Amino acid sequence: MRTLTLFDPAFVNRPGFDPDAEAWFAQVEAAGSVFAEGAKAAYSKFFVQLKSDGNLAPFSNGMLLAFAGFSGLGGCFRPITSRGNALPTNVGFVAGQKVAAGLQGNGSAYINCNVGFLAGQQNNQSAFVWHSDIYASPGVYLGTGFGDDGSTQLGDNTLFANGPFFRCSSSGAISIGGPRTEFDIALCQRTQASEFSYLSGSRSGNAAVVSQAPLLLDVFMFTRNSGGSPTNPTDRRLSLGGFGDALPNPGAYRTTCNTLMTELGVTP
Amino acid sequence: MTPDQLALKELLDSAPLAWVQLNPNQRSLLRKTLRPDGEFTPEQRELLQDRYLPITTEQLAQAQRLLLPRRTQVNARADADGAMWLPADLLTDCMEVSDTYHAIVGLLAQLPITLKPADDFPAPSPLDI
Repeated sequence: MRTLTLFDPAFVNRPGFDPDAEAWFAQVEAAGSVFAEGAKAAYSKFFVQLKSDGNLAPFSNGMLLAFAGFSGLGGCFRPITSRGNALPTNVGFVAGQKVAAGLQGNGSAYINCNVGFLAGQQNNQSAFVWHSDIYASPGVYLGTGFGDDGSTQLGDNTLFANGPFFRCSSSGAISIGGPRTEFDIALCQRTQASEFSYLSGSRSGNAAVVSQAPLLLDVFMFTRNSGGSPTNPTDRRLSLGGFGDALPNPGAYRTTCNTLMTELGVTP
Repeated sequence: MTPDQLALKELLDSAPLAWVQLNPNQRSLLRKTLRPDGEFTPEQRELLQDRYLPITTEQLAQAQRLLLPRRTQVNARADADGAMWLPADLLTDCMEVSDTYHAIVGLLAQLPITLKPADDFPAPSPLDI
C-alpha cells in the first residue's frame, strides 16, 4: 500500500475540489464533455457556496442543470442534482449549439427534465434560468402549464424595462419567458399561499397570486410544457436552469450564480 | 464563406433540395461545412440560419417512437399555416454512427432543405408566455 505524504506531488497538486462537485465533474466528463481551464475550480466554489447558503438542497426536489464552462453537448444533460437522480431528455439539441457560454436554443430544441412539481409543492417551489445573451424577441425559457388557463402575469416589460415575463397559473404552474436585455438571473418562487416573489437581475418584487395544487407536468427548459407538448421554445442562450423547492436565500443565489458566470468568462 | 460554400448557399437559397438530391461534390462540401468541430462557426450559422426540413406528423411519430434511442427526441416547429418543420441543424449531428440523431439519418436525408424566414413562424405574445 502506498501512503501519500504532505510533500507527495500527488497530494500537493490535488486541487481539493468539493466532493459533490467532483462527482458531478465525473458524470459530465463521462458524457463526453471537457471542462475549460479554471472551470472546475469555479464550479467547486459554486457548490461550496450553494451548500453554505442552503441553496443546493432545494434543487434535489427538482433539477439543476449547467450549460457553461465546458465543451461537448453530453454534459448539458447531466444534472448537478435532481429528484431521484432523474436524467433529462434531449429534444433536438445538436453538438454545434453547445457554446462555451451555454446552450443555444433554435426555436425548436428543448429539454424535458422528466421530473416536475409535486402535489403539495405549490407553496414551496422555485424556478430560474440564467440568460447569457441579449435579445428582444419573446420565447419561453422554462416552465409547465398552459398560457391561457388563468395564468397571472407577475412581471412584464413595464415593470422590468424589457425584463423577462413571469407567469403563475391559477393551477400552480410556473413559466419564465422573454424578452430580456441583460445577462443575469430570472427567478420566481413561492413560499406562501398568497404570494409569488421574483427576481429579474437585481430587481425584485412580489405579486399576490392565490395558489392551487400544481399541475403534475414535467418541467421543460427552453420552452414550456403545455399538456406534454412544447410551446413557444426560445432561440436564445441559457447558462444555468433549474427548479425545485423554494430557496432560503434567492438574493444570495443570484450572487453565487453571477460569481460563477464571471469566473467562467460568461460576459457580454 | 469560400466561393464553393457561397455557391452551395445560393443553390439552397434558390430552391429546396434534399441531401439525396445533391451530387457527390455538393454532399461532400455540405458535410464538410456543416460538421461542427465544437460550436458552430459563423459560416455554419450563416448556412443553417432559417433553414428547415418539412416533416409530417406521421414521420415525426415514427422517428420518436421507433427509431430514436430513449432520452433523445426531435421536436418540430409549426409555421403560421400549421405545417411542421425540423431545424436543419439536425443534419449536422446525424451523419456519423456516433451522432446523436444517426438513427433518423435515412429520414432526414430525404427532407428538402428549405429556407424559412423567421416571419413564417408565429411569434408568441407575452400572453402566450
